[in-house]
Amino acid sequence: MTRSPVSEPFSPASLEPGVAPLAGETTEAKPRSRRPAGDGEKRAGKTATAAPPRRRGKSAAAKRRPEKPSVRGAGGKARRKMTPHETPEELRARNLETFRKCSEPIYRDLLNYEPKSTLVYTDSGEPDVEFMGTRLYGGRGAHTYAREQLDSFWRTPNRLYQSLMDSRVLDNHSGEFGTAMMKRVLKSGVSFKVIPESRSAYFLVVMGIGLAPHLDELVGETSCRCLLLVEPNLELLHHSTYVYDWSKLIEKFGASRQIQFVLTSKPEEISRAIQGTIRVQNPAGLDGTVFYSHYPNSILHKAHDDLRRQDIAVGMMGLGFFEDEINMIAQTYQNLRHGKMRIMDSIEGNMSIPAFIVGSGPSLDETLPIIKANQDRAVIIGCGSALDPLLANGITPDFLVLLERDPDLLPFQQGTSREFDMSGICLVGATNLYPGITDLYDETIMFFRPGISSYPLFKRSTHQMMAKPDPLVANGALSFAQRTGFRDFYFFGVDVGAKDADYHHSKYSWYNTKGMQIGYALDTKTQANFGGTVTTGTVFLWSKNGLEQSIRMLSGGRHYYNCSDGGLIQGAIPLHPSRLSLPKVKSKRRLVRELIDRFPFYSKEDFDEAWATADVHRTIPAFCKQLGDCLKENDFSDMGYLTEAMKLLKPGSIDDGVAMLFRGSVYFMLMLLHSYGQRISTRKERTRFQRIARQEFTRALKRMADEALEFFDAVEAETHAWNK
Amino acid sequence: MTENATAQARASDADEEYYAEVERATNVFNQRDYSAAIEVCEKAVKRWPERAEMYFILGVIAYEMGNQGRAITLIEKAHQIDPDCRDYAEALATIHTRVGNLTNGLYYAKLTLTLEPHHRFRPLVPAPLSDYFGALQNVRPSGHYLTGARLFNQRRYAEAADALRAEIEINRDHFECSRLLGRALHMTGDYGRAVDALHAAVHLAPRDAKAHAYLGDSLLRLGRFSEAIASHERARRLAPGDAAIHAAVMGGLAFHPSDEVWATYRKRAAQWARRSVRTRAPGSGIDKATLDQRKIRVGYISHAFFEGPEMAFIEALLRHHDRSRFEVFCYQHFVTKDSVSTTLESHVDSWRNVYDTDPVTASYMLQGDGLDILVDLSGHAEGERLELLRERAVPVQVSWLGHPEAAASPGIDYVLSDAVTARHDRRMCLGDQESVLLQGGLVAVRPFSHYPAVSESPAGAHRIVTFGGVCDLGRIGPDVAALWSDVLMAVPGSRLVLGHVGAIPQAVRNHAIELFAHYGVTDRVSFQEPAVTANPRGADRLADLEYFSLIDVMLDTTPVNGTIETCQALWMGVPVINLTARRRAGLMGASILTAAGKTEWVANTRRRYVKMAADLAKDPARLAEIRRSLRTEIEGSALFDVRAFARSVENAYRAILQK
Repeated sequence: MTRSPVSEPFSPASLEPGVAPLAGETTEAKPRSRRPAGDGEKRAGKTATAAPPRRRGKSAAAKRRPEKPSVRGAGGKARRKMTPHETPEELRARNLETFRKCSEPIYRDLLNYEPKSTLVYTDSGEPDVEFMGTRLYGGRGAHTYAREQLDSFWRTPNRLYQSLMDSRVLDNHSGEFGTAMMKRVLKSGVSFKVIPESRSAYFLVVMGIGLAPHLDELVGETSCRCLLLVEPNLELLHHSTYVYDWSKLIEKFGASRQIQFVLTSKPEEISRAIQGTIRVQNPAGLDGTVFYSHYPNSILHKAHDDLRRQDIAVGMMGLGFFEDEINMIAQTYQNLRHGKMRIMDSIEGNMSIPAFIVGSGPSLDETLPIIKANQDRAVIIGCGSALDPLLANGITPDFLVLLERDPDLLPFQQGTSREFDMSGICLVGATNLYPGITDLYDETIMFFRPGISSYPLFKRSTHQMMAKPDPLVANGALSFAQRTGFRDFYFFGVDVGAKDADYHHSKYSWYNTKGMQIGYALDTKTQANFGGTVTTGTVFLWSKNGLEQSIRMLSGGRHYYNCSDGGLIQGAIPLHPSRLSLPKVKSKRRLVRELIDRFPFYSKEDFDEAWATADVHRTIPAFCKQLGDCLKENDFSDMGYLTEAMKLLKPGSIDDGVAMLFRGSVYFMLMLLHSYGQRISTRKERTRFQRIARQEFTRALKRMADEALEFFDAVEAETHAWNK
Repeated sequence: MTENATAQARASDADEEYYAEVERATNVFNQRDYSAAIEVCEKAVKRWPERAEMYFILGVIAYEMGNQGRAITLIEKAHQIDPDCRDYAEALATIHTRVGNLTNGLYYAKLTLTLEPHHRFRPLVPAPLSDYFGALQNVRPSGHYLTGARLFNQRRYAEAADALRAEIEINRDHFECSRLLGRALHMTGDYGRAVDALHAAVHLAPRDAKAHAYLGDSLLRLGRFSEAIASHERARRLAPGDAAIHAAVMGGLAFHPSDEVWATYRKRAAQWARRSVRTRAPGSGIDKATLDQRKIRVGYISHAFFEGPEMAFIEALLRHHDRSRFEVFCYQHFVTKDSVSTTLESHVDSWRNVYDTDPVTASYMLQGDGLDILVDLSGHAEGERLELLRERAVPVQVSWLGHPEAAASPGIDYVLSDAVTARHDRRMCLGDQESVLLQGGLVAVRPFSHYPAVSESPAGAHRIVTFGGVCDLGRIGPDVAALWSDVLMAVPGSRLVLGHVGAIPQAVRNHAIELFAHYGVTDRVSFQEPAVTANPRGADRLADLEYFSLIDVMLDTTPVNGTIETCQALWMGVPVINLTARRRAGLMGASILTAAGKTEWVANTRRRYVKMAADLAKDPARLAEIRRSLRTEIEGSALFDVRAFARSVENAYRAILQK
């Protein structure tokens, strides 16, 4: 059990007066229109919400009339007994003991908490919470309120449904698996519903704990494997310990299922926690996630709104896929095997000079004269395609950051090197860069990207990895500047979108001079840095989120300024370029030189040792066998196979190269199994589906393992040939 | 045995007894039972205040508990008592060095070379406290100041003050820390201590304009008006072009009870406006022909989009804007948000934080958002955006609530007024500024439907009439004390309860009593004693409402009237007697009472004010009837008709844009 930070006190602003609308009214389920996915988002799938058909019948409790509340007795909460054997105080003591064992911080907060509101009871003995004359449950009592709310909710549940994927949005391997499986499944007569009929969900997100009268039913009905409990008012959790048996719930979840408490009053923390949990627990289980709002609250509403706006699937992006991973391992192999590259390391000390992080967004063009005027007063870190605009305007970047493995980058880079003098630029490149690019630069500092399999396979220390370097080069550039001790950061041309969607990059950049294509669409609006909005897209938003996270993570004693006339980046103070004023710097060249010299070389010995340790010929087949076994014993409907698979795929971990090599594509396979599996209505069909899915899954894994080993053999052979 | 020998023996016995206690403290300390050790030490310190060891042990405990500042204070005390003991100097060298006071650390380190170790005390000194060179390698400057600054920005002022005090115990010369501590204490309402801290800040940095301005603010809230004005003036002389200082000076003037001092306000405002405001015709750049076919874009800028006195007025407007005809933008000029900000955000189309954004960049933002109208909610209060308003980035810039005046603010084109304030506002307008009349009142609030039921009248229960007044010395000058004393004297047996501000510090009580002492009514003046709970903010809110159950008639302050508390009082069945003054802040009470339909409680002379209060007090039946019916009566008034108010403001915006 885990938790997030705790919250502001209970206040009328958070407990809004008036009778709460029922969940069904607040959480309307609408189909969502989506644009076609670009390259970058191909792996994330699509999201949609929709209402399933109504269930028949109505519970007796739902027909019960609301009770009139009684005047509370002195002390309120100690008045009633919970069971013939246990008083509220005893229940609380038992609950606190459970929290003490499971989550010390929650226990401490609850132990010392002094409530401002009062736990009261209606005439029929139902608990409620009263604050300044207002009752949380509108005077009806927790159980009556919850009963009505649950009945309404089940009629139109708020669930997140991903669109069913077809092979066009999948990578080769998961696509091949999907096609083979679906051909056989359809041939065998299995049919699928548009949305699942079952209430089962891997994730259950409960927005508002209140006195917890709704939890048991929700948990029981959804059979969720991961329960996220969001509560902005610790006050309510405190009161719930007197009336709800937390011990029982926590015990019920045991070791194989998870409960996460999100106790914060900051909407952005709530949405981040939800997104983060889904990503690190099981991205393949997103489809069908149940969102339940317990009481009206602006914080919860805002968090829910943020999730909807940001598109939860964006947070699931960048999971990688097999073919890409294989190529990146091979290119890392080629780049590092010579022992000639400097490598990222733990760099101590502060840089007394500011860093300009220069992207190639369209607003760069306007700011080039300002960058030029200040080029001796700041270290210039160019981002990928900003190279041409900078050089064409007489600005030599001190560093150029490149991220992508794409071979198409090489001819553009070569073209630039023919046209301009690139001497004096230090390349800061991911280890997976296409070999040959590094030859164009005098020197190169390489870094590992944490989310890809080459990192655990080749790293010699964790310092060699750069945190949050993707999805776009601006992320890498910021990460590099942060790692190297800069304190003042200025973004130029980091537009994370464009005012005019047709003019999305600098006029000097390869996109406009050499026909380079962007692989993602610009089709949504976000707040602009200097007022108004910009048009942006999923990958840009992903990049923006990453930049914001990096800034948040390293904010103390640092200043971030955004001089780009593009999208707003939270945490970077908007600064109009005309207001830029920097002090003179004595010797920038010397500072840059000293900085570069602080990076050690990745030696040939390092390389040999890393590759020998990876031992892919043994580890890959063993991994595939274990993964295939996850599906053997399980009935898919309880989703246990997903939990088992996730134990091997380790979604939140970056230290298992083999798992990382496979996991992107395997996620998609599991998503297919999960999505299609829960849309089958008869037991017979489900059994057929599971049998075929198991067989195809095992075949797909075997194909991938064979391909990987064959590929590595070829790389090794090629290297041996070169060495000779 | 000689007398001398007896005395020596007695001394030796006392010595042994003392050292037995030292040993006991040491043993308990070594068992890490710090509270027991502290208890032993404190008892011993009371009995043997001239002995050093116990102070030292307390210092070591403080160090072990992470309070280096307290440790330094206590061990320095031990060192003062016994300056020849090397252990004390050594510990001081180490602690000072560890927290980054390298000069002090070096001083004590050098001193140790000349001193002798304690003859029986060595085992207590923990190893890290005698390792100066180790400390040199592990210098970790104290983080209390940063923690305090962070907490301050989160508006957790009491906690911020604790952290800042801890820093000052380590770094007594930390000027910024003293200044921030003063401000934090000011925000908690502890103006007496705030003044002390700010005096220290001013002493450390006599040329820091901000420290002087803050000191002026705190002095003001203690009712020390002349000193406050002097501090503000000093700040202004030190930073004549600084908008924040200018705002503090102007804000200070508003509270000054003297009309003569107040009379300089407009002149100063005009001087400031002349030197700083860009010129452009109001409304330029707006295509009037398209106004009916599109949404009007209106932005609100404030430093206080969080739980605070005026939030009810702002929230009522933002919540009820007609979003089909208006696109609403908010610009928050504060570093953090709270649940109120989050709620507000849900009522508007766009929310931006402009904290830390320079005026020119912010003006680009406003232009980028394509605003038609910008409404300034900060005025001259802390967090003003005078420099931004001067940029005139938006075609029409409007002032509504105004601090302290809505008009006479540079960069403002129009002032929203009601029938009560319009004449005054017009008089205060500078240059081309115009007053625009709102139909209904100047403000409206949502009915406080979540407040408790109206309580029984105290006069009914005790047969003694109780007047109430907000215990804000910034608003209770000698004139108000005289006025309220007149009321008390006009109603024999009546009393006055000051409150509605949470816990009232002793310094404030003393000064308040002094004010009333001149009139011989101190025995009839008392203070609300709100319950102290873990959450002062929440508790204050409750206490504020409970206050109304203690009083029969609320006496408004003048020349600075109450605002939200007047609305609350009316809702809680308490009549409010108001005396108007010739400044915006002195017309707010009349404006609110007029909107509530209670003009009969508005006086324009002191005599009428006293008579109105006395007449009410002497008619218990009427008082009881008012208490019973007032809520129902005002619920339907303009003051609580937030929808009509929002329409009235929107009509004013449209009229302005069509000009």
